[in-house]
Formats: sequence, C-alpha cells, structure tokens
Amino acid sequence: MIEIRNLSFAYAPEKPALRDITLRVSRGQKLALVGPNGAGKTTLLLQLNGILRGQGSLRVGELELKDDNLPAIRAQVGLLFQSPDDQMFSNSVFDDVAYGLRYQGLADEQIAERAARALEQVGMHGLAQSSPLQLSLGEKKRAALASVLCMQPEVLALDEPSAGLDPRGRRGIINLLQQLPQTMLIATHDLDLVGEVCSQVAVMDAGRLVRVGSSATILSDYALLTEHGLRA
Amino acid sequence: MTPGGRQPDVYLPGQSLLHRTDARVKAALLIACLLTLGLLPVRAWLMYLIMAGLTAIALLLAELPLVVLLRRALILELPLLLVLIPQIFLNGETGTAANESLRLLGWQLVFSPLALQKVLGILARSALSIQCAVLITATTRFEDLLGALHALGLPSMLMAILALMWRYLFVIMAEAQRMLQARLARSAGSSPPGLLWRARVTGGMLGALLLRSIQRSQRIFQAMQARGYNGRLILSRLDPLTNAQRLAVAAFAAGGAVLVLLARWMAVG
Amino acid sequence: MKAPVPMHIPDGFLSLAVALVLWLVSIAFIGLALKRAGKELPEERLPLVGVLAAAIFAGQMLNFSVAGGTSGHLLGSALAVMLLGPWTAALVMACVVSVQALIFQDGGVIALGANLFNMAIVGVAVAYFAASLCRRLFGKRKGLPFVSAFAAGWLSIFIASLAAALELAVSGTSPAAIAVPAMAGIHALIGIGEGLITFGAVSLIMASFPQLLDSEAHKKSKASLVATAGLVFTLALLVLSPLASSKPDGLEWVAEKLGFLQLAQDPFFNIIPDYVMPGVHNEAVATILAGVIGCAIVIALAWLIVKRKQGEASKS
Repeated sequence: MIEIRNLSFAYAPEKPALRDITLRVSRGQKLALVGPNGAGKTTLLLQLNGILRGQGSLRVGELELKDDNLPAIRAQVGLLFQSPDDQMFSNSVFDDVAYGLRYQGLADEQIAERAARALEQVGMHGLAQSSPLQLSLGEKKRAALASVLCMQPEVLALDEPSAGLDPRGRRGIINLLQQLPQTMLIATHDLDLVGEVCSQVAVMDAGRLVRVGSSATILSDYALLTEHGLRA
Repeated sequence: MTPGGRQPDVYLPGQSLLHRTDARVKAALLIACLLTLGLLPVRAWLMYLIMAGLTAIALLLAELPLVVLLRRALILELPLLLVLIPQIFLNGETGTAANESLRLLGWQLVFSPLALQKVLGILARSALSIQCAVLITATTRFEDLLGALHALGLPSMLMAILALMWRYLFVIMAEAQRMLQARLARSAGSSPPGLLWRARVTGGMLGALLLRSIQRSQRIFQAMQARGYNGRLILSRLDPLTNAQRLAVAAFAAGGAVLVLLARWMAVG
Repeated sequence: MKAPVPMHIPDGFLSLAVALVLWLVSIAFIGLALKRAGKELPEERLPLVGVLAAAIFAGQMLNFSVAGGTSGHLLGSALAVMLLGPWTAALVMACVVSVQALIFQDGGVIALGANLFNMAIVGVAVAYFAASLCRRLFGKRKGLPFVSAFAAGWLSIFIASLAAALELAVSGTSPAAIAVPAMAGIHALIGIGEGLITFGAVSLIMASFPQLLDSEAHKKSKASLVATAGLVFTLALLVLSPLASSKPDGLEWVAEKLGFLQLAQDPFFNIIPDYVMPGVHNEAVATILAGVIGCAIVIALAWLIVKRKQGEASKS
C-alpha cells in the first residue's frame, strides 16, 4: 500500500533529517514508527502526503508522489498532526470536519452526511457546533481524527496520537485505532499503544531506519529499545 | 483565564430576540444607528433622548444583565479627555456667545457654554454609539458577525484571515498570560532593575511569542494543505435574507434619516 | 480590554465626512496590501496573517511598569513591519485594529476607517520608512537592527498620533491647537515605550532567528513605494500639525475650498476658533518643540544603545 524507496530529505544543507529510508507497509497493516525525539518520525510522516518533498520515491496505492498527484494523494492519506490545536483551525468542530470535504468539491448535503458519520465514528457527534476552544485535549484529538476520516482515506498517518492524554483518553484512542480498518503509519513513544494496535514496528534513529520487524520481536528486544532511547 | 475558556470574549450567550436575529440584520441596523448618530447635529438633545430611549428598549430586549452592558460603555483615554475638556475653558470661540463665569467654592471659573454644549453633545453621541455597538457584540457570535460583514462586502480573504485570528486569539492570549505569570513568579519583591532592562525583558517575551506564532502558522498551513487547501477560498453560504428582514432594515434606516432631517430642520429654524 | 495605546478614536468624535474619506482611503490601501502580500506569499498569507494578528493582539497584553503604577504597552506596527515587511504588516495591523474596534470597542465602528488609516497605514508606512532610513544612515553597523527598532517604534506612534489629532481638528471636535499637543505630547512619551519593547523583541529575534529580520533586507522594489509614503506622511504631518495649530486660517481655507466638509458639520460652530493657550505663547513652537524633543530622545537613546552594543561586543 505504501512503498517508500531510498527517501532522503534535509531541512537545510547541513541538517539531513531522513537518510535513505526504504519501507513497505502492506494494505491494512498498522506499522508503528518509533524512535527518540529528532529521529525524523514527523518528517517522514509529512513526506507521505507531499507536504515535505525529499529525494527518492514514494508510492501510495497506485499513485506515485508527483506534483500533479498531490490533491489525489492528499485525499488518500489522512494526516493527524501532533498538536490538534494546529489541525483544528476553524471556529467550530463541524467547520473543521467539513473543511477537507469542501475542498473535494462535495455538495452541502453530502458534506453534512459524511461529517455526521465521521463524528459518530469518533464518538463526538454531539459536539459538532462546539468551538475547539471549549474541548479537552482528548476531544480535540478525536475531532481532528474525524476531520481526517470524513475524507475516507485509505491510509492514516498519525503523529503521536496518544501524547498528553490521560489514561481514559489513551484507552479511547487505542480502542478507536484498533477498530479502524485503514492502513496506518503511527509515530509514537507509547509502547503500550504499539503493542495493542500495531503488528509491525520500524525503529528510527538520526534519520535512519534501524530495524523493521514484528511488534512482538522488537518490543521484547530491550537492548535495541534502550540503545535508541525507547526505554530509559 | 482557563486555557479552554473564552474569558475576554464579549459575547454573552442567550435566547433573546436580539440573539436570534440574523447577524446581517443586526450589523445593518448597527450601521444605520451609528450613521444616524453621526449625522445628527452635535447639540440635537431631543434626538439623543429618542435614540437613548430606543437603545434602552434594545437593551431590555437583549435579556442580558444590564450592569454588564452599561459598564462597557464610554471609557475615555487621557488624550481624548485632554482633547475635549480644555476647550471649554479657553477663550473666544468665533461666532459664539460671550463667556460666562461661575463661582465655585470661592473660585472664579470661566467657561464657554457653547463649547461645553459641544463637548457634552460629543460625549452623548459617543456614549450612545458605543452602547449600541456593545449591545450588538454581546448578542452576536464573532463568526456570525464575520459572515454578516462578508455579506456587506468584506473580501473573502480578509474574512478567512479574521476567522483564523479569532480562532487563535485566546489560545495565544493564554500563552501571553502564562508568560506574565512566569515573570511575576520570578520577580520576587526587591526593587526592579532599570526601565531599559524591563522593557527589554518584555520585548523578549513578545519576540518569543511572535516567533512561536510564526512556527504555529507554518504548522497550520501544513494542516490546511493536508486537507486540500490550494489557495482558493471556499466559504459556507448563508441563506438569503427574507423580505421581512430587508423591510426591517429599510424601516430603521428610514427612521434614522427622518430623525436626522428633523434635527437639522430644527437646528436651522 | 483597554487599548494598549490610547490612539483609537471612538465614534462620535469624527465628522462623518472625515470618517468616510478615511474609510475610502483605508479600503484602497488595504486592498492594495492584500494584492501585494498575495504576491509575496500567495497561499501561506492566510494562516500567517491570521495567526500573527492574533499574536500581536495577545502581545499587547505584555506590559512593563514604567513609573508610579503606569505601564507601557505595545501597539505593534513597527515590530510587524520589521518581521513581515510592510504589506503583510499592514494587513496584520488592520486585523488587530479591526478586532479591537469591533469586539472590544477600542475605537469606533464608523471611525474604524480613520483608526485603520492611522495605525495600519500611516503607522506601518512610517515604521518602514524609519527602518529603511536607519539602514541607509547606519549601513551595516552592528547595532543597526536595534536602532531601527527603536526609531521605527517611536516614530510610528508619534506620527500616527499627529494624524489622529489633525483628524479631530478637521472634524471640529477639538481645535488643532489643543488636539495636537494633547495627542502628540502623550504619544511622544508612549512612543518611547513602544520603541523600547520593539527593541527588546528585535533583540530576542536577533539572538535566535536573525535570518527572519535579514530577509526583509532584500526588499522588493515595490516596497520602496511604502518607504516613500512613510516619508511623505511623516513630513506632511510634522509640517501640517504646527501649521494647523497656529495658523487656523490655513485649515479653514482648505475646509472651505472642500465645501462638502461644511455639510457634515454642526452649523453652530466653526472649525477654527481663535485660541490662545494660556502659558504658551506660540502653538507652533510648542508642537515643533515636542517633535524635536522626541526626536532628540530617540537619537540619544539610539546612540546609547549602539554604544552599549559596541561595549558588549568589545568585552566578549
């Protein structure tokens, strides 16, 4: 489903952020991207829908990442940002959810229907008219997820979905992610989430892909985890 | 101020007639009201009274705590007071009546009654204008107000920019508040260092706030791009106004025009 | 929420004619700014202007105690210009001033056109002009951004206040001989606070992200229009203000030529009374003096700051 080949990227000439990344995620698979801060996890996720463009090749489904494919790719890849405050930029939850749909050119009734369904999926259907200012962090994360799900993407790229949540919020997110059918690439520090949601794990450090394997294997490899800052 | 709250917001929720009126109608009425006040001769006392009466009725219709609404009215800053008050006591406005003097507690106070009337008129006019504006902003959500302004001609880009500004206004104000608290926590007691240093520290806080905001705006831009933003603006459409609403606005505007014409006729005659 | 800088004119203080003319002027300038900013950063302009407007508005909360309970605040035109360039800064300040007026009643709704003109157009243009001038005068010397910051901050406030004063005078609200010293005098002092905070903010940005300020050094040629406008505003207002204060006939003559001004005025008072302010013999002198003192303070402070910077540099 996702095929990344020899992807490299640098924010500035002396600061490479991604070095020669090659990674494959099959359809329906949920892969966790783990690594210390600064490893390049967010940078990699931002490559997936073309917000950042590196050297190398990236394919999502049948679409090769190219300039003229960007709108189609962005419809296919739903990106959940680290900070829901940056992603929920409208003055009401409904407007945020409807945003992507409006840019897809859907009619008002279709928009209303898809928005309602997405909000149902994340358990937020009563809060459509609320302002993000009135929501808790967990609610904002779920609203952000709804704003992405409504576009019916095939792939979800999530950046630290459980960060900052209290135990109940975390449980909610984990349950949600388990239920959703999409292919997922999840950048996270939350090893419990990894264990419960993801089948595969890719360990990143300093822009490189150190190891890819099943969650069971990697999560029990304490030496590996410690070496790359995932276990204190 | 809680991070999630909209504390400094002036909107007071409610279900009154004023709250339920379409924002476009309210905006149009406000403009008609302000234009009327602006066109009245400065010393149109009768008209001010009428307008005050109408404003009072509107205040009651809003079903909101009156004290709150009245308190938000005229707070004049020092320069404006300095601009107004002294001219009452200075000599010789051409074409006006001679100065009068007043014995006050043994002091002789010379003032110009015409200038005094002018100043009072300006203050009355200003207070009424502000009161009307307060009423409208207290009963209208900002997002709806933006929609109304858009209907009245505000360009879409500016409307979108203002909507974004509104979204992040309280978030960033909370940030600024936390910075102030942190500074307070660190400035325990003793005599504060010089003015230059204090200004520099404050400026540093401001600079940090702006830098963080620039970074935030870049992340928001990425989020917009991720959901398909391509530079074009797509705004939700409002239902067209009913005839009744149009009529109401027209009636108010006509009423205001009548008041102005009457006042001018009375002033000349 | 109180306005940070007491320059916002409420409704009722300006004659409708003045307000209308300034509305038209402001709309024209802001429309132009939209187009120009659109050319500089077409898509990104939306989130940048929106969030920065929120940030400047929030930044106006950051105060520092001056003396005896008073505190200094920032308006932000100069800082916006130095960070974003003149056109984007004009848009940002327009948003700030508009929200102040519409939501918090700092400044009137009818008078918004005038307030936009004073703070988002004149303030921004003059700040840009001051920054450009400093760059030309002081070249690549080390203390440059700090001097420009202070000068731009002070000048933007002072000149904008002159504009406000003249608007009040032309409206008949207050004779120029009173309005000008009142507004200009107070804002000459307040401008010092603006200059200082702007300087502090620029210090921080220089320390962490100097390239943000540098990029504005590569100005596009179209921005020289703004610098010229700033120069024109500055000179015009510095000349007109003392003139209006001491030679009321000049303003009356202009007003009579533009006959329509009379229509919106109360038939009971003239625009220009003969005033003699007790204690001060010549209004022109008083106002020019205020301006000169202000400029002297600016230059002295700037010189002090540069000296300090050089002192620090030589120590490290």
